[in-house]
This record gives sequence, C-alpha cells and structure tokens, in this order.
Amino acid sequence: MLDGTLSILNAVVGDYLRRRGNPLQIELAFYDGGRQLTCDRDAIARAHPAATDRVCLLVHGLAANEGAWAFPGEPARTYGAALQRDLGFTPFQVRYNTGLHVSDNGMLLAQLVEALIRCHPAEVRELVLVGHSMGGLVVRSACEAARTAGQSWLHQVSHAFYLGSPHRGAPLEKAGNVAAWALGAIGVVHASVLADVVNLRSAGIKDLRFGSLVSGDWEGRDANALLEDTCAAVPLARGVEHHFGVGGLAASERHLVTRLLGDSMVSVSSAKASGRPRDRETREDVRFFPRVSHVGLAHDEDVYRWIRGCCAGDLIPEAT
Amino acid sequence: MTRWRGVVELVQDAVHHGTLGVERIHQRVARRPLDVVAHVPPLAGAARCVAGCQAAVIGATYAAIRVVNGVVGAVAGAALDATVGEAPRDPVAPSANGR
Repeated sequence: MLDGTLSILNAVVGDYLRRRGNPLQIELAFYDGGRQLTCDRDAIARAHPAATDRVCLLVHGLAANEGAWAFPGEPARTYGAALQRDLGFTPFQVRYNTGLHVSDNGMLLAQLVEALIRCHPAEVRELVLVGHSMGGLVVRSACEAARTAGQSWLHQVSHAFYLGSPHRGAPLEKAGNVAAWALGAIGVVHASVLADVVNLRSAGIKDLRFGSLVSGDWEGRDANALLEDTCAAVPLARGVEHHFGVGGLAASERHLVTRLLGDSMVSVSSAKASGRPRDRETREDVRFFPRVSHVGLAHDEDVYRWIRGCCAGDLIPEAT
Repeated sequence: MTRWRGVVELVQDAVHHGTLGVERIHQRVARRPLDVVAHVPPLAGAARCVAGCQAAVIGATYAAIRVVNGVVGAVAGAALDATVGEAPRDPVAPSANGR
C-alpha cells in the first residue's frame, strides 16, 4: 500500500522530489520481495543462489512498481518467475522514479545493467528485457544510452519486449497538454492557476506525449508547448529481436472499440510504433492480444506464452 | 522516519506553492472593482491608494501563512530528528543502497 502510494506520488511529481532532494523519491534499483537489492555480488548471490547465465529484466510502467507484474491472485507469479521456472532465467525487477525523464531513467538503467553484468555470480550470456508501458520506452532509452556510451551489455541482449509502450505517444498526455494550454489561453487568472496545476505533472508523464527517449528531445525546449513533437527518431538496437505486444479492449484489432481506445491507455498504432523508420538489420515482430487491457499486458497468460515462445525460439513470430 | 521527513517537506512545499497560487487569484479578484473605480477621475487617486493598501494586507496575510508553514515544518523536522535520536532506525526507510 505504502509502496503503491509512493509510486503514484513519484509518477506525478517525481522530478520535483528529485530536484528538492526529497527522501520520498524512488531510486532506480533492483527490487526483490519488496526490498531494494544492492547491486553487488554478495547481495545478488544471496537473492539468487542459483543464478544462471540467462538474465531477464522487468521494467514496470508509469505510477507502478514491480507489483504490476504479479498475476491476479498469485502475487509470486510473474513473467520473471515463470521464465525462471520454464527456461532457467534469473529474473531481476527494476523499480524507478517514473516522474523523471525517460532518458534519465534510461541512462540510470543502462548504468545499473552494466553494474549487474560485472557483479552477476554467473557470466551473463543472454539478457532479455521486458518493459511494460513507459518501461518499454525506458528499455529503448537504456539501449540507446548503452550504444552511445559503448557499454558492453547491449551485445548480450537477445530479446526486448515492449508491452503496450507508447512509442508514438499516449492520448491521455496529449489531452492533458491541450487542456493546460487551453486553460492558460483563456486569460482568466483562475484558469491560468489551474493550468499551472495541470502543468505540475512530472517530466516523465510529459515524455509520454510523443514517446521521448533521449535528452535532446526536451533539453532547452518548452515542455508545455502545444503538441510540439520534438522527438528524434531513435533506431531500435541492432542485434536484438524486438517484440511489440499490443493490447486491445475488443476481440480484434479492427474493431471500432480497439481503434478508438486501443488498450484503454495506448493506441494500437502507438504500441506498434507504426510509422517509425524501419531498419532492415533489426528483427521485429508485433503481436496483438485481444481483450487484454493496458494494465493486463503486464500479467496475462497469452502474453507470457508469447514471451516464453520467443525466448525459447520455438515460436514463429507473427508477421508485422 | 526518513519518509516522514519527506512527507513533512512535501506538505510544506504544497502549502507554500498553494498559497502563492491562491494569493495570485485573491489579489487579482480583489483589485478588479478598484480598477473600475480608478477610471472615475475624482476617485482615481483614492482607488489607487486603497488598492495599494489592500494588496499589502493580502500579501502580508499570505506571507504570514507561509512563515507559519515554515516554522511548523522546521519544528516538525526537529521533532523527527529528536525521535530518530531516541529510536532505532526505521527498517523500511529506502536506504538500502546507502543513499
């Protein structure tokens, strides 16, 4: 309960908490059983006595924590735990301040993974990244940060899963941006104060407007400008199989409800990253999950089967 | 206990920024009728004088709230420090990485 409240607080004003040095801010770290896991060899060996050379990382979405991965009614069952049981992966769950810029969290995650590779009890030969919602953007941002910093862990990544990630932005944040702009434009003091309150939302939330991944997208720019897309096209990491998990409220992708509402938070085209320049050297697949909501993508039987199939290499990816 | 300190700081910040926003509205709304009166030439000087006094009183009121807020925050912080000095460390404080 307390952790959940802190996660929501960090989502809304996490960047402010960081600027103020407020101890309520969440530090990006691995969490195990609700407790922070220090990234050193002894602590990891204690948490994972049978650590293997296959590692999977789960990165949650906005206003969530690692509890988002738990299957309903089965708190110990997560994609990580299931991959450990079925394919021998060693799972790590990341918790982070979702109010920070995606690029800041991406850089911190890249550093954390670099540290993990160094101190993991077994030599890491394979790394699988699973990001839900904003977590998918953080994963992509971390890969880009690793590429530009020349970090070695990127070579170990075999698969990256993006579950309901708003690669092209989230409609709710766009609506928030328009609402704040409209309130400010009215020219009445009450409305402008209300606009200020709406604009208090965190940098992380604002990054979801167009799916910002790198610091160049926001540095020196007005974060409250009306629907100004300043996001650079960041290519998917090469040598990695990229999997886009797309949820939909209705039974088919073409159903009006799915077209209008997507998975309730992210549209189908955004979760698919449609319209993004494609790189022939990266392998990508897209899978639509009917009647799976945005939140449900983090703990769904069909989604897990897809992830397991891709990681086991026994599934032919659906055509994009 | 670290988290309680964070809560105190956050509430203090919220009250501080909240009073700034409300004060902005209050000043603007209170000034509006006097701005109208100021258009009447014989009353313009008096209206400006009243508006100035009114703005000062409103400003002082909200400033007093912010001062009290600061004092209460400081007292709460000191009380938390004293409690930490007497009690063992909070086992749920987010300090596992030493930060």
